[in-house]
Amino acid sequence: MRMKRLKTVKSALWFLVGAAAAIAVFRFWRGLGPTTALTDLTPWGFWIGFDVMGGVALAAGGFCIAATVYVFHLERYRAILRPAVLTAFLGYAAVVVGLLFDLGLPWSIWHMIVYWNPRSPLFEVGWCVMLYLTVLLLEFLPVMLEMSKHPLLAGIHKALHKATVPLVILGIMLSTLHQSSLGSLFLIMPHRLDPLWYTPILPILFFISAIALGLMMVTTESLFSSWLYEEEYELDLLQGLGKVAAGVLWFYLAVRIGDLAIRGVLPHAFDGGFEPGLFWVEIAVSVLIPATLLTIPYTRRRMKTLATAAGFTVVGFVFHRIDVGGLAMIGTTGTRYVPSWTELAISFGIVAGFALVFFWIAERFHLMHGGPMLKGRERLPDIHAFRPRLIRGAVMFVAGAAMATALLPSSTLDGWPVVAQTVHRPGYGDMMILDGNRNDKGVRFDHKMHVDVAEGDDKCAFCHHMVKPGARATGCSECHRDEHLPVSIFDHRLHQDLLAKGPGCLTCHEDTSRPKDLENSKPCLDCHESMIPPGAAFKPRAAPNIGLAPGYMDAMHGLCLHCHQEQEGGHAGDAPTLARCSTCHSDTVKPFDPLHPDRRLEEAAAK
Amino acid sequence: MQALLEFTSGPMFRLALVVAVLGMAAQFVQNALVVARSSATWQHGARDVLRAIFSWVLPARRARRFGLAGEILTWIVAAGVVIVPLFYLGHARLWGRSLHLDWPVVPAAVSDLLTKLTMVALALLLLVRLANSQYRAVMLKFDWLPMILALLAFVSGYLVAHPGRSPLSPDTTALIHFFSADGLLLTVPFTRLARCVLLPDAFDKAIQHRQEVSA
Repeated sequence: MRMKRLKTVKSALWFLVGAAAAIAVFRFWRGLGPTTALTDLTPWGFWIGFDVMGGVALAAGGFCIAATVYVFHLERYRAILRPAVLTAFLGYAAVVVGLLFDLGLPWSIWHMIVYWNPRSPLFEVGWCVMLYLTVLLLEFLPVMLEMSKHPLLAGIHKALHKATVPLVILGIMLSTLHQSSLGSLFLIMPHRLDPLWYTPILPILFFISAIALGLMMVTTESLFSSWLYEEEYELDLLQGLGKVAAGVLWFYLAVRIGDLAIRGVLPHAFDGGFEPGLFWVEIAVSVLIPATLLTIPYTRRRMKTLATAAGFTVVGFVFHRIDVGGLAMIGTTGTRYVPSWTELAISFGIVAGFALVFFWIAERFHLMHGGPMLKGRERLPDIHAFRPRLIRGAVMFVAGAAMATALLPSSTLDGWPVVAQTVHRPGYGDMMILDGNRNDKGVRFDHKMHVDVAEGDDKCAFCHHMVKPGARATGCSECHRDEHLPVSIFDHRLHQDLLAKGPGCLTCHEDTSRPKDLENSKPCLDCHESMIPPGAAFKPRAAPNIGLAPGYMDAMHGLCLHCHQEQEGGHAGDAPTLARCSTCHSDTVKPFDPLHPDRRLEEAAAK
Repeated sequence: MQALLEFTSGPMFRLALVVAVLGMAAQFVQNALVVARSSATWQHGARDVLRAIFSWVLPARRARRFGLAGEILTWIVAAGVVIVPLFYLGHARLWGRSLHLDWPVVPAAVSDLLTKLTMVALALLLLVRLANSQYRAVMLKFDWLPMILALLAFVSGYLVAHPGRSPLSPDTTALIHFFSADGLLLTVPFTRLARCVLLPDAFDKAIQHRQEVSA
């Protein structure tokens, strides 16, 4: 029975991990767009609400129990200290893993360590996560090292054991900072968050709720572990936590409702509609039901009602974080974001993975109830068995991965193709607007100023690095004709027509027995030598044959940045900022009006 | 019919492929762990283990024990099962398109010849195993399945590539091909086929073979 319960739970967890692993491959291969329901308007979705904000909140049990034992000296709670610290450590590790999925450039996550931006709330959040994760690791490491007989590991264990109290104090400080700073993060978006959630005291609400949630998470984890391993429930200890949590929950409710009343937003809670409904469901699930159950001594001392109260608090406050992270923004932004099943699968897979790590540690180290619980371990099969047998976890992992891969939509499998976007000319004259695909995110380009600062007789040729036969300077968009896709600049039809009266095809295809492709044809520059001026900044990559012209955006960035970076390196004064994005992308380009095509050019010139 | 063809060549194929690849990887990792923990590995040393496995895998050595004809047939099937699904022109285009890669291709004449040889070799091996009581004794019911599915996949695949010779409609032939290929992939990690990544198995046999040779 015992093995069966444990095996079933572990099998389900391995299945979820397998599914998440398969989807993860496509998330990092194909990107966020084809894999998730996230958009530019809703860049923060379920992953931020559940994995990051929910994960941090769920990890609050670590600092709550550490403070109970080391600050308030309530020694009897030491029995649940280790699992609480481990849950906190794994919770934060899950936050980091979840964040890697959500970041557009996950490989740049280390940037915050080197490139400081102290004005950014995310900078504080990032540093808190990193430092607290380190502290939690150091706090928990002695548990894993205490059985080691290796002198080095034993030495590390001794040193860490001595540093326990400073580490605990550091952990409480960092965690307190971090729980509230996640709330601070949303202070910068009053225009997005519904007033029932947006409040200047959001950091305080996050902190108070984290205490209640932390206590109830420790309760949930302890009850679940006892059920899974069929150990005795620690009801005496847990009902004590429940009593404290009830007080914190009622206090939280008073502060929240009081804040709404003081800000004059309380009537909005009775308006009806999506947000008020969401608000009351959240209050009922996170506070009213669990606080009532925990306040009544009879229900608090019963395992089932205590578990119900703990479950409601955990779900309710994760729900609160998801509300703040996205659901409470639906009304103000007008978005209809519904997380895709792939997002849910990744989130649940991460949780499942760390739950398996928890079990692995619980079964091998002195975590709970005074010793390792080896009964849950499954042995590797006998190598001499006639039939090759995979252990159950491996089978479930493979099944999860296979099922998820089979269910993935073709847009995720193939990715989103880059759509062809014909480039529009930037205009003529001294001032131009580089807005090739007319998305109004272009750049005002002062052509006259660039002509004035350029030097040399052949100064036009530096930028106009390829000139069509007979022309003085060819505009960028004549070759770089697509916004993103490389386009061939060779016009076969034009050559066919022009050469028809002369030697015809033989002009270029000198050996007709060979395939009529670029490799076997006469090099373009044999006839069009003057197309590449000597002072050109860029030469065609496939010279003497002229191949594909890169997309307009790549070409513009390539040419402008090349020169700006050179100038930056050689000059003082304003030059060091020359290669930054804001130098060119300094102000918004007005929308293109087809009825008055020249208006924005005229306005730009007049500035 | 179209929906069935799309299902068997789309979601079901992906499911079967992941089961085959990850299942074999899981078998390999699991067995590598067993080898790493095995006392025999530590007694003999890694170099001896690798030498013994290599010596066992070489067909010329094994042929002494199992007969040259049997060895040749097995190796033809092994080559066919690896080369044709991966590098036959039609398959290679699908791989290349799905993975956005330049996928290598074997000439059509080579893949055609290999397909025919594999069909014959599979049929002969099946017959030998049916006729030989020693072989039949070690073949469990489930072990017949991959051999039959492989034969079906190769025959139907050949007919898909040469529709003029098929007595069935092209869609029916393709459906049989997809079903049998998907089925074959699904059975790979759970049948005797998985033994190609079972290191301890190869190691045991290699040590045994070495002892026999030295004796």
